[in-house]
Amino acid sequence: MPDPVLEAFDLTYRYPGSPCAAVRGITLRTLPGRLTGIIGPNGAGKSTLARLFAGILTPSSGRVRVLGRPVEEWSRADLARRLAVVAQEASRATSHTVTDYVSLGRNPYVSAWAPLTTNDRHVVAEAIERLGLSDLARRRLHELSGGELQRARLARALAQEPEILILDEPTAHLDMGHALRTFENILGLVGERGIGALFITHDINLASRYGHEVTLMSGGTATVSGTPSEVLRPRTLAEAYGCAVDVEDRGATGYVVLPVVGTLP
Amino acid sequence: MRSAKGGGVVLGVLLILAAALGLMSGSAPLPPGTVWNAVLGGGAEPSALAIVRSIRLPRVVAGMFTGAALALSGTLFQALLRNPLAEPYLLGVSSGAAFGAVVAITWLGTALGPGTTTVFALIGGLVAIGVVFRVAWSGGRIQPRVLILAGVMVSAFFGAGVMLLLALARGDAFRSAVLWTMGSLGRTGWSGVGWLGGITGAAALASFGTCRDLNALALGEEAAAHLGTRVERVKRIVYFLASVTAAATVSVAGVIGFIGLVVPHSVRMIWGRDHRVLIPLSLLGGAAALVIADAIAQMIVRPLVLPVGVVTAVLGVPLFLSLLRRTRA
Repeated sequence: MPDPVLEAFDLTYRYPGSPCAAVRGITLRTLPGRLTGIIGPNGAGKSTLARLFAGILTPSSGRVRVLGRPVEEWSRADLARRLAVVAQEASRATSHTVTDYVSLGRNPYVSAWAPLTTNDRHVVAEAIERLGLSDLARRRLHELSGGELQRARLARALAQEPEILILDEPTAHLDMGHALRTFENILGLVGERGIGALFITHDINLASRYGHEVTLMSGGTATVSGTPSEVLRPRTLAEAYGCAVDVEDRGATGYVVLPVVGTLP
Repeated sequence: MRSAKGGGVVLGVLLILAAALGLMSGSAPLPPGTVWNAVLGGGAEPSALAIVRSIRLPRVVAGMFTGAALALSGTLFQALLRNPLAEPYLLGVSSGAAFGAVVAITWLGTALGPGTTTVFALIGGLVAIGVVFRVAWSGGRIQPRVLILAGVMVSAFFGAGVMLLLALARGDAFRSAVLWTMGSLGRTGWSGVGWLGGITGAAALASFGTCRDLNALALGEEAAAHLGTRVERVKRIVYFLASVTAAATVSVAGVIGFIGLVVPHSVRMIWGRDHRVLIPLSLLGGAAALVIADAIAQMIVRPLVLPVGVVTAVLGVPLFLSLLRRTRA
């Protein structure tokens, strides 16, 4: 088995001033070429976990290892060459063109004043091409649709040439067709480049279809981890989400998970 | 979006023309040939030589450095705070400096030497900034929202102090205090120009080193960290540079509005928001804009010199509004 690219050991984090821990005793690993999904109700600690993995937050106890080395030992620039994060941030940088925005992915590779090298520009163009944005390269981000914007975010992450990809709600605000395409893109990138990816989502159906492993988080802890078939049990899901859940196994096409209407206490 | 090199040429030529205009205008207008000879030191009559070399040249150079420093400071504050209203005086440096200057003018006169007002203005400005940062500093981080609010509060406090002192001041002190707060490039000699130039140059060079970090910060602080920026370190450095340049301009030239707000926005609208372009072009644009405004301030009601801040506002606001309407960026 290949070495994990991202590991957490007994990870705990308590926000300053908060009485209880947002993340408690999480142990998790992500392997190259694999997709690890994190699902769970609002407030389960999923995004806190992502911020711990990216070195934004420092754990109260436990540790995170990136490519075998503790995350806090990486400089921010060295980390950004290996680990890329796709979150909802680009909504603010509305007047950037797609090319300018994707070029920001080369920031950890170039000095402050130097222009991008031929190689940098090649990596940027390739990332734009790979996500099918070539025709939109000169458009501004605020002119893009939600699906195009999400592809621009993936292209920016790809321009960092990462070995690890962390995706926080990659399909938020996307319709089911665009959500599916986003996951196909992620799966493609992970397969082509041997990237280890960790994604957080509320879409359990897509998580079960695309996650090689899935972890269900609830109340800051990992309630259950494993293959989708091990995690997607009606009783487990019902306990985590506080409503009755129907789970239907459709074999090769994944699972259909639905809340059961009229069962709230 | 226009090319950055073209922008450099346009603004560079504008700056040279502005300097020529500044050297020719004044209470006694001089023809270009006389100015040219006086600057080069050959063949000009002694009076023209004296006017150009010891009055107009330091005034024009002071205008260049002050304008460049204000535009730099505004660019940096806007980048850090991601707030279009950010400008050099946001953190109360102008009110603090005005308070220091008015204290010096109404109570001390020149009792402690000719530079008393300048030194007190600098101290006042730095005290205001210091208080604002102390309030906004928490847990090893600078909180931008707290910073803005604290700046407004500290400004109001020192503004009230200025009004109190003015209400109690005698007639002549009142007049010179009010004139000080209006801002002028005419009261500094070569010494003020030298130290303002040194600070502006050093701050500009240092800020070039943060260009890509500032570009990343446009996406937000956490996103910038994901792209390799050491966010808190960059914020500390850039706030320091922006505050010190603003304080230096106020101590030398008083309060001159609109350059620090309008120039960076205009450059951004025309040449884009890459700080590798934005910072140098804002430096050039701010220098040119203030020198032109100061030349106009001396021409309108000769031999009276209008406060240059009046000209920057009266010309800057309509220009900016028309740019805003055309680009809607």
